[in-house]
Amino acid sequence: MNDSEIVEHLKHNRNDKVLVILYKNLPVIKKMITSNGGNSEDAEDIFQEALIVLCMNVKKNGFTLSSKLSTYLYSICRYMWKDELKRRNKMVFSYTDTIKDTIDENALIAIQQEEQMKIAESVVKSLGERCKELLELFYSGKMKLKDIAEKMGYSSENTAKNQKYKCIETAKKNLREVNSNINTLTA
Amino acid sequence: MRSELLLIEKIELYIDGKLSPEETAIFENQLSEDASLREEVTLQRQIMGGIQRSLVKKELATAFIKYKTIALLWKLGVIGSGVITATIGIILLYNYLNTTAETTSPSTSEKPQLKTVLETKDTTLGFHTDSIIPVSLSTISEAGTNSYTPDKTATIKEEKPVSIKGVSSVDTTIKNETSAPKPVVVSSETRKNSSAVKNLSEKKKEQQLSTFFINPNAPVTWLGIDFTKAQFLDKDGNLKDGNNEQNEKISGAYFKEWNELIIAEKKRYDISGALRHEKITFTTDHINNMNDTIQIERLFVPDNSILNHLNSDDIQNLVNTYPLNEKQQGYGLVFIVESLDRQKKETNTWVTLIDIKSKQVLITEKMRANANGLGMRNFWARGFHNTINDLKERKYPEWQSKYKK
Repeated sequence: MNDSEIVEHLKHNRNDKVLVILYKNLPVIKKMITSNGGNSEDAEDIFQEALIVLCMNVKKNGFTLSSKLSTYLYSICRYMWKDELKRRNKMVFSYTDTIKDTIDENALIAIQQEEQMKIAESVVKSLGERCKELLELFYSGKMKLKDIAEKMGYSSENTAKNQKYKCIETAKKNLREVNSNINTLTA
Repeated sequence: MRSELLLIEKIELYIDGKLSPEETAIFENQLSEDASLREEVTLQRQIMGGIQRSLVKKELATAFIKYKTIALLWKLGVIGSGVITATIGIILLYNYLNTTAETTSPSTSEKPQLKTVLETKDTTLGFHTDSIIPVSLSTISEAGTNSYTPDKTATIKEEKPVSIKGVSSVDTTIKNETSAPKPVVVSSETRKNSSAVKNLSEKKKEQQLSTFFINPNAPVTWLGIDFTKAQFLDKDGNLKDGNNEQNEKISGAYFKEWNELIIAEKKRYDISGALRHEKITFTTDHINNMNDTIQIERLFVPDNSILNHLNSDDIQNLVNTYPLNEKQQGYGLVFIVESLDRQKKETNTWVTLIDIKSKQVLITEKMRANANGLGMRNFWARGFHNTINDLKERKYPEWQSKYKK
């Protein structure tokens, strides 16, 4: 499967078909990270984050792949690992390799948005299992509200819709509070 | 509510880029004029992003397991093929030596000796001796003493191991060429590995626990007191014994106060002593954030019939939702409060030790402690203090003798 086919699968939420293929890039990332102050588990974590960035970014309107997917993932991992080293107050990155510190601009924006997404993810998790399941089923785009109502035992599509509204509103309220706390702390 | 539902639907369509160009232009015009609408869109986008992230993470976890399994099978295939190739090589070598010997001194009495040699080798390599011997002998009898040709060797040697599928194809070739049954060594290795994968997490858990009790320098993080599952026995929310003191009403602020108390008075609330670990990091932000989301009124129960409402699976499920830093290593200790029982003046807390990275619960046990003291804060804080002391004096030695290996 070539890069553009993989991107097409990711764009249309058929991640299961291609993620295993993308994991074949992991050994290269492990090599890069373990030779720059990290261990195998660091590499797996960073690579997972890079795949999340790719999966999220690819769905945005106007996404184009300006390099090979392997290079794209490598540059994201390299950027994230350098960032992580900074956070750990370690700067042991070797500059001997020939890959320049260039990163796709959209990928950079997506990496910066990752923190916000992580917060939102934890807010959704804290809503409770029912709300989380309902929202995940709906926003995965794989089920219609009518089917979700049936699966989750709601009496009608309308009940499911109202429940979804309540869950979203609670999530927004909690997120608003968390954002406000963060703003206060960083002000 | 109808208009709110419609608004959410419109925002969703806008974020997904599913509005027509005209509708998009109108909506963006509204956005430029309406700050609250802009905020709604930003929050909605963030929530949808968070859900997508959660879904992608689940898919990644599945993909990673598949990737690891394929890598494991690949290794097994390589090892299996290596063993098969080595075995075939040995058999052919013996055949060749036998043929050479027979050329110089043809004697039928040497065949039983060859059988003995093969039996010994087969046993070592884990083959069914009975089934492999006829292969060798039939090869000899088919080829005749002098008619062994290198072509047959070439056919078998050229089989390259590619994956487990490759192994099967080698097996088939052997079967076709020599009528040999499938070597037992491959299937038994596969069975061993599947069972090993099954027990891996349990073994890892045992190792982690053992390390925790052996190594007093293992990094431990105090994560805080989690009240998100707490039930407060009193329909009015009066958590203080009202006999001598005026009742106070619980509020979310207390959750933070109790958590802060443990950090502020580390000697009194001796987590380090209780766990026999000197280096304790105190990171209660995640738990505080989660406690902040609790809707206080919903926590009160009128009777004690549902106070025992948690089990260890619930604890694991709750821990799974913790927004911990995935890059953090080491152990985490968290107190998950099940109930504050005003009638019995006691706290029921699940004292829980976890592996932070995997969020795996290593130990969780419900501990009951008496609460008393002046004022709302001190009354229930005493319960947590007693829990820590009980952990130090009684529970830790018990766990140590059970898990230290």
